[in-house]
Amino acid sequence: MIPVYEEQYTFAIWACYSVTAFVLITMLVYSLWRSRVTKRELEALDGARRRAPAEPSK
Amino acid sequence: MRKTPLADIQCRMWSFANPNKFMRVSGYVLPVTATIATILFVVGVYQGLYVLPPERLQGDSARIILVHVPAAALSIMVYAMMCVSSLFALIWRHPVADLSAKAAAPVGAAFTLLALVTGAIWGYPTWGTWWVWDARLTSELILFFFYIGYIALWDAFDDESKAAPAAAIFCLVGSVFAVLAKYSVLLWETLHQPPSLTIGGEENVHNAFHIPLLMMMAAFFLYFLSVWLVRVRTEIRARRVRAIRLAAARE
Repeated sequence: MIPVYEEQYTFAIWACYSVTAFVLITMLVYSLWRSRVTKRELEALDGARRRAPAEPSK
Repeated sequence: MRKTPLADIQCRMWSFANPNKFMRVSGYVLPVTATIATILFVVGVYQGLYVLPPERLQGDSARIILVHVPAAALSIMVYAMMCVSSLFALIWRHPVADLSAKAAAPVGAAFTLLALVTGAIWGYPTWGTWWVWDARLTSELILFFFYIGYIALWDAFDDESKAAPAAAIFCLVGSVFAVLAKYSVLLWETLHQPPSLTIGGEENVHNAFHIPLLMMMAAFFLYFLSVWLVRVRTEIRARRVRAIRLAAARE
């Protein structure tokens, strides 16, 4: 059920709640995506380092 | 010998200087803060859109208080937290402190932008204008520019060890505008109303709005805490990636 407000305030109320939801969700999704990319990058580098043969000591 | 409270706080802060310990503890805290924030958001938004009655003077537009006030409060709180982190990074060379401030900046900038945009949208039907060069609005806008400048400064340097002190000093300079944004409505006669919530002072909101507003404040704060923890964890991992690449390049 969509609530009904005084006509002159309807746009302002929906605009404020929508903009807030958009900004907060975008920030959250971007932070999680970046976290995932960095975690995978670190795991790949760590894995490559472990697989690399140890250099003979000089 | 008994430790002073300041020494105790410093000891606790230093225990988190170990990134491994920070990663371990934040891994436990993160799901808790994220879950509570989600519950508070759902309840708070439901209260704001469906339950709250129209306010005596501002009518239904007063519902906007539940998103505007927490965003504005957090915009100042996050900047204050960045200043404390910058001090820790500059004075005590705390290894996670500079990452903490860096991770908080985009979230703080988002809150400041939200405060400005929701304020403008709310201002038009109630004040009759989107914007006035009022002390509160202007100091909040300058604070937003400081956030953007801080983020740009980190990106301007290739070497993180040079970017960190420059960004920390820049952050401390901007603290003037965070203080101004907080106290401008008390220092000058402005179009903007006095603070809605004060600790131990007179409340400027009706009881019906008080609990939902506190709920949304808590939701915004826990949202910040959750996203900040994710971002600090990312920065710690990104630092490790850079260190491994640097070591590989030297071999």
